[in-house]
Amino acid sequence: MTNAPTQVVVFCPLPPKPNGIADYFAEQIPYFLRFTKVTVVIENEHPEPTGIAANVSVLRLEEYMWQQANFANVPHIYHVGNNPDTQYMLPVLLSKPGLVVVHDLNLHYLIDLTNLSKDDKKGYELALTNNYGEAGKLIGQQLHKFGWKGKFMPHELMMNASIITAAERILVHSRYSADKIAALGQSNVSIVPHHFSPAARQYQPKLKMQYRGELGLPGNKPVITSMGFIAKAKQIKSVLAALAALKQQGVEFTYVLAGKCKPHEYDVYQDIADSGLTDNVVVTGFLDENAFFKYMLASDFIVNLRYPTGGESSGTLTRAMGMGLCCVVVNIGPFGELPEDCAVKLNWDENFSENLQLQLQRLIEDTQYRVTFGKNAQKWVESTHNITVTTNAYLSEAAKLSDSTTLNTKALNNTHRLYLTEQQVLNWRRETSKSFKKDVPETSSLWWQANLVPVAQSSLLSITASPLHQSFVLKSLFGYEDSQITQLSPAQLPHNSLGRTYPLVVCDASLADVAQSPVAWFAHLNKRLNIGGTLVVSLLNPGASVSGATNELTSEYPLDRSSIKRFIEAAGFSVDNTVAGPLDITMTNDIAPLNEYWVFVATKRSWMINRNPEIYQNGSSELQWLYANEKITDAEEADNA
Amino acid sequence: MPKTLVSTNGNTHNSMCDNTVFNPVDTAMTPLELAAARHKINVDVLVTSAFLRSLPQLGEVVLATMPQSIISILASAAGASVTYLANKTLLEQHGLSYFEASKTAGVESVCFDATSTILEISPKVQAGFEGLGQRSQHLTITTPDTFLSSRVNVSWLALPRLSLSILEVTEFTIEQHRPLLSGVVTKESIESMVAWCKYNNYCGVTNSLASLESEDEDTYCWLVPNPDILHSVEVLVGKYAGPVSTKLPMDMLAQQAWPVLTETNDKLAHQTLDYLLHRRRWYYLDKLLNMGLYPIETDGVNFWRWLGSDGVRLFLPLRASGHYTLSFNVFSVAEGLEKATLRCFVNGRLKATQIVSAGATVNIPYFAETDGSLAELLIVTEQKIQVADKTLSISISDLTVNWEEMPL
Repeated sequence: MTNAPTQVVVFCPLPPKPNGIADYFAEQIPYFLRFTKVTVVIENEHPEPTGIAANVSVLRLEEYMWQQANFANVPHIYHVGNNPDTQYMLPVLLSKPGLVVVHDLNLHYLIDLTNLSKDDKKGYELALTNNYGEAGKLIGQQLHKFGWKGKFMPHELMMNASIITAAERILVHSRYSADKIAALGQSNVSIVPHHFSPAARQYQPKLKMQYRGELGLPGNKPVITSMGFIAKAKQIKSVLAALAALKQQGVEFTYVLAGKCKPHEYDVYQDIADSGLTDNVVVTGFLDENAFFKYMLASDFIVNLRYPTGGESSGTLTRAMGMGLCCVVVNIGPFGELPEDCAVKLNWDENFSENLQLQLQRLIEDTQYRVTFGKNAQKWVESTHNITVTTNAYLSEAAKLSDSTTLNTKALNNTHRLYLTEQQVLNWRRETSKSFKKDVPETSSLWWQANLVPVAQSSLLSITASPLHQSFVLKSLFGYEDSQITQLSPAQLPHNSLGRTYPLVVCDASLADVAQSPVAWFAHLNKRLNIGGTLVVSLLNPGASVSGATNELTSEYPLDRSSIKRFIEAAGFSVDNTVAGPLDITMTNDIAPLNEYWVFVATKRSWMINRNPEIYQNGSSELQWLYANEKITDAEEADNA
Repeated sequence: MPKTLVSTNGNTHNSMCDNTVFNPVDTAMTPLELAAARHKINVDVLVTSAFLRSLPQLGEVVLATMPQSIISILASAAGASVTYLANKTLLEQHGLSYFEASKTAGVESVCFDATSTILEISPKVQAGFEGLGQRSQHLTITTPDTFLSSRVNVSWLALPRLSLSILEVTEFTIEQHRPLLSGVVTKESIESMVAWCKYNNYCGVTNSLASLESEDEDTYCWLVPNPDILHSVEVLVGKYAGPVSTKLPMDMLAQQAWPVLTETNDKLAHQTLDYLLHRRRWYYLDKLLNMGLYPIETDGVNFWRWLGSDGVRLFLPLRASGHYTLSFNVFSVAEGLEKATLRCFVNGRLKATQIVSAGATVNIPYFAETDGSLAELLIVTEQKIQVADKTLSISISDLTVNWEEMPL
């Protein structure tokens, strides 16, 4: 392999952690080591890793954080799953782009662990806002206010957007997951099948009866097995119901639930009792690898149902199919991508239960039927899930990474901004006021007088019809260089595709610019900002003018300050500060201020906007996701406008 | 001062013309040299104690250090009114969690610099980070003159760094209060600092009270506002005292060489002697600046604090380079756990992995390579258990730092 990186840093739990991802990566390591130096970063509390080659460097997160600069130019791979064992890597993943292996598309539980599980309801609301914009905020507020969290939420709300958009590249195991991720605007997605475990080759299908004897399973009845954690989504209840019906017809069998049970999450024992199959069901509890393979090969076929799906691929399924076992799956998500002749696929519809029962009966009674599926599955897995091929694909993806971010802080969940002091602004104003007025026309000064603009940002976008004035202030007062400032006029904003985002946008516009389509206008600002970036937008309110010119803006939307704030929030921001003025009203004369300005300081919280918020009073919401990691064409811009 | 050597036959002779390099492991040294040879922190203790005792009217001291540092304890023992300045580096490294811990420990949200700015620390917005809902905090970075403009009696400013630029913005304070100044001076700045001292009638000395002029490395130094104070300090620490045997135990040495510093009947002397004799310092758990401990608990006799769900991060200032042992007791293990596997990291290195039960002591040897360093101790446990609304593992008590004296 010629294009492997010389070194990789991999964030992943390791054995003896009882986690499929740990086992998965441990199997890959020897294949990585053929081409690449591997450093694995584990959580601080991780038990001592076992079974890992001596030439793999293992660092705990604390050690990595102190040495991070040494790894700044090394490709990073993150194995993320919807479980506590991958929580530790999130701050680094979100701060240092790399190759993210998304083992589970639905990461709601993982995100929960960072807030709700710590009784941080506000944090949960903000996490929802980050993923779903204004709509997410509403759901979070409902939880906060009423303690209400719908049962649908963990399944319907995947909460993976921050991780998907933070990644430089993504690797998944199925087309289903790839398509879902691409819909979030992430184009660097590759599909690499879940490898077939090399350890499986130690176990021989022809020793089936010997394994049954060792495990205490009957040799004279069909053995049906569901493997892995016993969870509700595995539709065990449906299987029990189907088998109970078969039992009544006189069909004999043993049903093995080969995995760990979590009664507080799903009381499978109650379902077993209710189905009347207490004598037919074996619950094994957690299995080590040796027992796992033996239970698998002791089976006649495997039932591996999953509904609803979180987009997760099943390592268990790959192993079972690779060992020549017929598997029954729900025809949905990644399981729907299995070849028709390699697995028994049941549609999730009104006939599911009936079809399940029919198929179970056929598989029990018709040896040829199940063996044919098994053989086809085995050939397919051998040709497409070879671990050498899949591991090389990982390294090939890692070699494409280019990020070289150095983390300058250990508090990766915080951001720093520097501001001038009030006195510095006053001093500057005093010193420059004369030349200021002489050289540039009087325009909005509120946004800088109120000291709302952070200094020392790496770059900024300046949007104004008076570039001379704004540029002068940004350079002279706030210390920015020409090279850091990109200029646009408000008229150019909807049409100009810059192909990049900024940490800061300073915008001096008029309510008239906003009036026709407020949310869409602010959405253009959203597109120009980094997530978490700062928007300082100054709006001239000509309605406050006493100049005698027309004071009425024509707009079908309310344009008071409170409404503007709601438009900004609908466009994916939170408004942190509002200033109205001028600030320098003098009491020494009778001249009223010519203009009133409103300045809003906002933080970009989400790529999700609501193009039809409630304040429009125009029907239901229309959510739109703005993120795309490729340049938007002018045509698409026109569509969006 | 001529060096005095003790020859093997017991005769002494002066060696003004002798160019022999002084051997620090000789059988006789001056008291201050002996104290430094055993552990450099002894010099910190003695010199700081001597300065505190020599300041004519001890009023407010402004320390850029945390409340648990040795100089803070000594200053408080001397009766000073102490203002603690924030550590900007640690704030930038550890963010809002450190900010809260700092505030709880009584540290101001202020630090000094030559130019003023406001540093805002706020939570990020992406799901996956903890603490999204924390409130933003602000650190005021200001000049000493701005911050101290209304103060009545500023006796001592202990800053992280001394430089011309910071002294320029301390001009008014220096003029008004003539405070003692201390901090690290870089080797590049020594010449300019010496010139500044001459111009402003200050005396610049190193921590071992040698002239700043003679230094050619980065060094901690003291800028003393008048020679009387410096002379008093020199006398108190026995700078010009005759040599003493290196075999003299510390209690006798203290009695002989530093009677005022260690035998005066006041808190400062008691604390000074305690440090010298016992070569350790306790950390009061209630005042400990930390990230992650639950509040202190007591049964009236014992005091302990439980580790939080992510362990605890402790900040132990170690002013002097040298060998230390960081220790704590495991007061108890959460009910439901018999034992716990602890891992202790110091400045990012895994230093100890230990299976502990209640009553165990954990000792972590640590070598501080440079003066003025900080030992950042992270303690985590492999096993945790949910007890009511808390995730518990172990509770700790009796946190101490011992300094390991070199055998002579």
